Amino acid sequence: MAAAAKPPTRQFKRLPVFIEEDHNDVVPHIHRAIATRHLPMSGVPIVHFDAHPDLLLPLHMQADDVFDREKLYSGLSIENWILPLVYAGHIGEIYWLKPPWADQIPDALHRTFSVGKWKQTGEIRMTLDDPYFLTEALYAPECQLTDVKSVTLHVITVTPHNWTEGDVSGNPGNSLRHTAGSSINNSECNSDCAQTGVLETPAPTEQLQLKHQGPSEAKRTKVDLESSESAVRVNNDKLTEVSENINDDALETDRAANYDKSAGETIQQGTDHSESEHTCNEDDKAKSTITASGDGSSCDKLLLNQRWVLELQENLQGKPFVLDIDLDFYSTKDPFRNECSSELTALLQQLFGFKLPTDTSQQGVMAFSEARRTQLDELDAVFQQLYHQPDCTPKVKDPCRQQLLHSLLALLQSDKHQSGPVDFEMLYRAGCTFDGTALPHHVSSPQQIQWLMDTTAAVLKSLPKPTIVTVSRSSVDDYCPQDQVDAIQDDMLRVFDEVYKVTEVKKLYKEQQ
Amino acid sequence: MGRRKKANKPPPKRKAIVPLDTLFNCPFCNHEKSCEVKLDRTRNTGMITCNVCLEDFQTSINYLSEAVDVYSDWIDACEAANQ
Repeated sequence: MAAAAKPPTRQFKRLPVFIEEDHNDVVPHIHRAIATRHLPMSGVPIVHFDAHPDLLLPLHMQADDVFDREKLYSGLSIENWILPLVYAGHIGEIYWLKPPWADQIPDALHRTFSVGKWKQTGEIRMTLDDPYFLTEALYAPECQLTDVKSVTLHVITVTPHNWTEGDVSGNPGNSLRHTAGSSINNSECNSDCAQTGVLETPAPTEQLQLKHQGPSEAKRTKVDLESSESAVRVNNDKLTEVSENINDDALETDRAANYDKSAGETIQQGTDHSESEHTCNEDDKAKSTITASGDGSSCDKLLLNQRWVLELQENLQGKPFVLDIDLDFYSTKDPFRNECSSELTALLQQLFGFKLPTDTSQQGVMAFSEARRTQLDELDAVFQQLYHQPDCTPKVKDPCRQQLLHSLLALLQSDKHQSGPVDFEMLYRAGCTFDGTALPHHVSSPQQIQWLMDTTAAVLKSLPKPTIVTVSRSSVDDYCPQDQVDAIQDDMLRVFDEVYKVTEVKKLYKEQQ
Repeated sequence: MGRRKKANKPPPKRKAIVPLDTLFNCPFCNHEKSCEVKLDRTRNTGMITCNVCLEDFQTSINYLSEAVDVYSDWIDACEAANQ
């Protein structure tokens, strides 16, 4: 028989849902979907619900290893699995949908950048110079890259209409109701937060040494927000439709009971939430009216969210795409948060500290990147040495860092007798996280999880059906609270059943247990 | 911009990779496991041949392709020809 002239594209009869524990373990499923021609070889959009960007690169991975699956899978980690797929040409558009408390990369739509093979070392590098990438020494200018692949990144905060937030001091946070609702409703919302009692806020960025957002970045974000606002007003009729859909969904369930079990809440509180929820929806409708008359500046954040819904609808229409959800989108822990004392944290912050370049020319940025890479490699070697020989005192080139290392080791010696052997591997990993902003940390209340789940359902209903769904639990490593993850997953699967009707769920994490 | 590394937990066991089939039933003579696939990675070409009836098929492959993907293309091509 002759060869097939043009390979066919295929469709799954039942939408496959792959649930893994670690996020990077979804990559083989995306690969298989491409190999079986369910997904195209190039330019696939990925809709990525996650509290973390996962947009780093394995620093020392050779670009050619991306095409060797064994090497690729063993070289990937939870924070760096997406961009290697971009370099391979498979993913061409990334929609990072983040919860309100995630801030590792600022909101912005349509940021196109390149990923390629760095001529100098053969490793993979990329052309965005945000601190998130720069501090990992991943930046290289496009002229130094070969085999370049282009990708467009959209970073969007998903804020449920009725979202309320509070901080540990009890002050109202980023509440949309607060901006548009009456004072009576505000007090009800804050009371709700106080009742749940499990809300925690991330460590203030100010506590860290370095600013993470330069003037150019702030400017770019501002421009994006302005353009978003004008675009959204043009589409106001559609926005109201989406707004009503979300409100309808928010009213229909009492699923808070699921989370109440794990968080120790009472059914009575769930009932109270229903009442306040109704109030919130009325507020939201009021806000839509204000926006329609062009007097809704307080609703910019809400409108930005809705703009991306419309854009997603348009951009994904008729395209096979990957829907990817990390369950820590709904409730997030920073697993390093309670691992170190404040004194130890302060020393690690200084040891792993850096100063962003004031010279923002290409040369200045590259010089910073090179210095940062040297610093990270040196610290990696230091902690490796300590891991194998806990009583040694490794040498580092910089005298200030050497002094810090001495202080750190002295502190650990003094703590040693109190808390057992020191885990230097954990300390190194914790140190790597001290670079500009804290890792997101927000153990959501049952009501907040439900709001996010309802908003997810509304968004998914408004989008075309994905080709495959990948889910990561992220609970073994404590990024998603272990006492909430099962309830979140159950609810997530109910949403899939409701939205997609026919799914084939593969709980592959069970093979690891 | 924190890295998102793993916490201080024992790493989960690596899942055993279950190898995919390499021998398939022939759609022409119906013999079981009589069709063998050869993947020519340098030419990006996959070939499948029935060792019993000698029917064969050739299709394009990529670095992600496995033997089963060549067989699937063959079955699709058979179905398309029958329509």
